[in-house]
Amino acid sequence: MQDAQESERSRAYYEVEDHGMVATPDHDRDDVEEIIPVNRRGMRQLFWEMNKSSSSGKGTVMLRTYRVLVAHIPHEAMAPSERVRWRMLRKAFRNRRQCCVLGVVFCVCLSVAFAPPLMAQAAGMGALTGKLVDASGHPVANATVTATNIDNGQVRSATTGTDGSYKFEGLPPGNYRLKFEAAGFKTLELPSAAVDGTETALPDEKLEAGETIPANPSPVQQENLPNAPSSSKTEPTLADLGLSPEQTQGNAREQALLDKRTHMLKIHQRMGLITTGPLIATVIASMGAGGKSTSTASRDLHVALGSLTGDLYGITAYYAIRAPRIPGTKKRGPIKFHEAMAWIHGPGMILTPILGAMAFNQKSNGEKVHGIASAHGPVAIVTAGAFGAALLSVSVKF
Amino acid sequence: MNKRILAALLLVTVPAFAGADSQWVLQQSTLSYHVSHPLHQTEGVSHAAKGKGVCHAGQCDFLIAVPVKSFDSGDSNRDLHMLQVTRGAEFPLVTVRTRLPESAAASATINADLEIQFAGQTAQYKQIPFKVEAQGGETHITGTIPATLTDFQIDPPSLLTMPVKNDIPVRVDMTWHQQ
Repeated sequence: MQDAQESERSRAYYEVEDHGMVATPDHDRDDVEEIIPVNRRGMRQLFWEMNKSSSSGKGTVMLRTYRVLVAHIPHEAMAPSERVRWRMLRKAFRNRRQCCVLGVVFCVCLSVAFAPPLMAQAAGMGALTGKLVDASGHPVANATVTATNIDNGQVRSATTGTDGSYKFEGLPPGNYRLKFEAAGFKTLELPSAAVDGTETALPDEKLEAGETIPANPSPVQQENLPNAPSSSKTEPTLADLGLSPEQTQGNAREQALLDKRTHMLKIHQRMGLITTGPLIATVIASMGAGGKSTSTASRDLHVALGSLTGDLYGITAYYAIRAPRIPGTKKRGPIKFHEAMAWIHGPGMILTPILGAMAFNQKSNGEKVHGIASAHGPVAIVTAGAFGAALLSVSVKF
Repeated sequence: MNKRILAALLLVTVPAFAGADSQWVLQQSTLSYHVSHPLHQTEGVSHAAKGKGVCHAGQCDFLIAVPVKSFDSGDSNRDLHMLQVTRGAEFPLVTVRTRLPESAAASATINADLEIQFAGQTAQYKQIPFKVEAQGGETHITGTIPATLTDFQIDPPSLLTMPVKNDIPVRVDMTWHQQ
């Protein structure tokens, strides 16, 4: 019975192989019985289904910008160009699968810090395009389109061009809420638009004429709101609250300092995470580098990993040390412990390679590691421990 | 004659009462925002809010201002990060404006329309419920404002490359004194 099923599947597979696949955006052959729009994941599923079952191979799949129509067409009825496209499509699919595998390996090899963006790239960033028109169908230029990722809250905005078109590129796949705002028009919201790894074209959005809602409503408009603050003279002002000018006036220079500080500390965080990988690898490699029965290759590997760790650590430390200090800020909380740990792993990261070089020379000369060089291991362990504790202190709430 | 005197008194006193202003002053306050991160649940608390309400013709206009810097989450590094993403140095105050009927102080709950200016943006929240408890000349108000980062176009702050959730509900606990 099972053999019969396998035979049936094999036969079905060859039937599908014998049939054709036509790639065209406007195909209208009579033998197409059904059109099923599917996304990239659906395309993979479709191919898988074609190979495992007696599917007749009907369906429409989206591959980048190609709409691929899978039809039940006898092979002999296919035009030569269609056969070429069929082969190209299959090849593209196989390449894509290989790329995915390579992408996963690439992600694993790199650090956790870059994992989210790399995975997003491996999964394929998408794009969202569309056009804004008014009631008469004329394009609406200079409108603000805001795309909010419903899953993670990330916001992107774009401005429509003179032809009313807008485009968001490099969007991570997900569901987006779109908001369209333009002077002289009512704000329009699109609750959800799905973005996959391809370019998604939305239908034209029509804006209705109406009152503009600016970011900072004027007092007159405020009073029009049902329960809004009045614009009367009795309305309290900031001066009534006894706030000093220093408290009410912005400081662009300080904001610039904060921006630079955050930028540098973000790199510090990422580099710290990246350093963790080779640091752990160095500790593991040390097990084969220091004993009696160790080989030169093991020591070389340990030295190479240790050097990489040291270099990455140096970059990590640079971004923390050079991040600007904000005047008048008193340090509180876990950051104090994080910095205290730096006073341990910082000198440790300098001392460990020096002691390691001494130990390496002694081992290379056939000597047993002795003297101050024998402190290489303990110092390295304390250094790695302090580094881990520093990382955890800002990662996990105790 | 008596009726004329009574009518004259009414004519004088009604406008006088209608025009009588009273004021509310914020005595104590605790405002706390809640941030949710895959690794942390954080609350930033401020007791530095200043507020005033001016009543006129049965309506009271309230203004509350809080320095962004005054929010303390227990970690100066995190607070500086929040200050940066909320552009707190450029826009140092969070201001809340609302208008309520004078009689609201006697209610158990009020639904307020709030206009909040923060991070250089203005967001309006409609019919936010607050619980009211009046004791003597003081009125205690508690409630939660369902704010989100996107309301103020704030990029979600991140730790170890992971961003926080979009929701940052702000819990309000205020004691007002009528003058």
